[in-house]
Amino acid sequence: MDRKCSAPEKMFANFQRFGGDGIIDRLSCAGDLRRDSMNATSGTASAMLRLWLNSIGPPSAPELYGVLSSAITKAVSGHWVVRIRECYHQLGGYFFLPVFSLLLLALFWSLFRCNGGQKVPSKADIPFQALLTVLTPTCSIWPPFYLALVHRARYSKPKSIILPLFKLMDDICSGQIELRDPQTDLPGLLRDHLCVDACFFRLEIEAASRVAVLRWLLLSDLPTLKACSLLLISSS
Amino acid sequence: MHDFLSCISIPSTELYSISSHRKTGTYVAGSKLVFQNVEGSQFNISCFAPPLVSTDCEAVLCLDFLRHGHLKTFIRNLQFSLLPCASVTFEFTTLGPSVAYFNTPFILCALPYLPRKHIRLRDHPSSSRRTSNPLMMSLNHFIGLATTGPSPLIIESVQNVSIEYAEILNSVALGLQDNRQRRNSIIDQFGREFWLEHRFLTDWESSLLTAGYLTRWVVTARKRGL
Repeated sequence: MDRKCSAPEKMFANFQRFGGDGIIDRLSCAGDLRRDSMNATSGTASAMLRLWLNSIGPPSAPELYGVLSSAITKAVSGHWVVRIRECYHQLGGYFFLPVFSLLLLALFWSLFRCNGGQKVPSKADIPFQALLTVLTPTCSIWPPFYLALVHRARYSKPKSIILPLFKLMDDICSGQIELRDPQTDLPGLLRDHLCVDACFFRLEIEAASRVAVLRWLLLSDLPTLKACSLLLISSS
Repeated sequence: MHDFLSCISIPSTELYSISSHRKTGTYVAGSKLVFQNVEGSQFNISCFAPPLVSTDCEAVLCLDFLRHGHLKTFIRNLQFSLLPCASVTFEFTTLGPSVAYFNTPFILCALPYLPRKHIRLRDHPSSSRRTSNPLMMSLNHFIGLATTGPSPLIIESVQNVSIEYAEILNSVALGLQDNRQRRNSIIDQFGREFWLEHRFLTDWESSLLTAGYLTRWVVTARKRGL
């Protein structure tokens, strides 16, 4: 008997541990088993098959399974390939189920991401983005007036946001909205040059603002002849 | 220099109290601005207080605080009260060349000169309000007035300082926003709405100058010698 070959010996020891005594008693020749198992160091399953064939009565299924699995683990333990193999054997046909489900999930997720990514730069939101570039609400909610402006701008061609002058001024002075960068944006806004993402900004002079300016000029300068003549010229 | 004030119905003591914290500025050669910020307790509502009252003969006379109807009387009195060979500097805003009466830019230009909404009348007396003079006056009109009359002035230089003035206004607006002490003092004194309005209109005026709708002029004149 070759002493150096330890794996079959261990297998035999396990064989004994898992109620192997009873099996050995039932075996016709234990020597054959030893020899056979020593020959087949890698294929323990074939050894067990032979054992089973040579024996008087076949060992019961749990006995066989226990012997097999413990033999595998004891023979080559510690290597990761072996561990995966072991896992594969233990799970049997169910091994691919979690793998397939993970793949399917990844597929669905990527499809969902693609759709979501297409929605963000849709053309309908360009005026809103543009408005956010120039103005910002001081609280988290936009005043409904500006949402209506954006809604109107979505369906205008070219896209333009028309800001009423006095309304804008009142909202800024009451602290509802504020200009993000007045020193950059205001000169363009005054000259009707301000354009953000192909969305134009224009100031609308309401009739009320014209009336207010006219009233102020009249009240402050009515006694002077110069102002009167100027107003007459402008009205004619 | 005090004599010409008599024609304008503003009590000079009031003006003194308002302009105690004014910025006295002089434009030196090369159109570079040198400003000395006079520290005081009172905050001045306008960026430039009316420097009509000053013992300093080098002071800049800002015409934006004058009523347009008073302009002729003011200049005539100034011509009369100046000493021979004394020079005087005027600073004023006029409309840009693209602005016509009651078109859209005119309304935009009128906005910073309209009476403020968010301030009590007591805190904003008429003397510290800017008038509609910038909308009415033109450079030609002013030069015509100054170089005529019984003792006409000689125009020494006319300078367009729109860009420099816009920069000053920008820095004022930034100071209103970032300088915490200044901001708090204004909000305590006049209220948050006033602070927002003042900041917005300062930005607005600076943008009008940048856009070319308003022009800021500095005119230096001298009285003839005997």
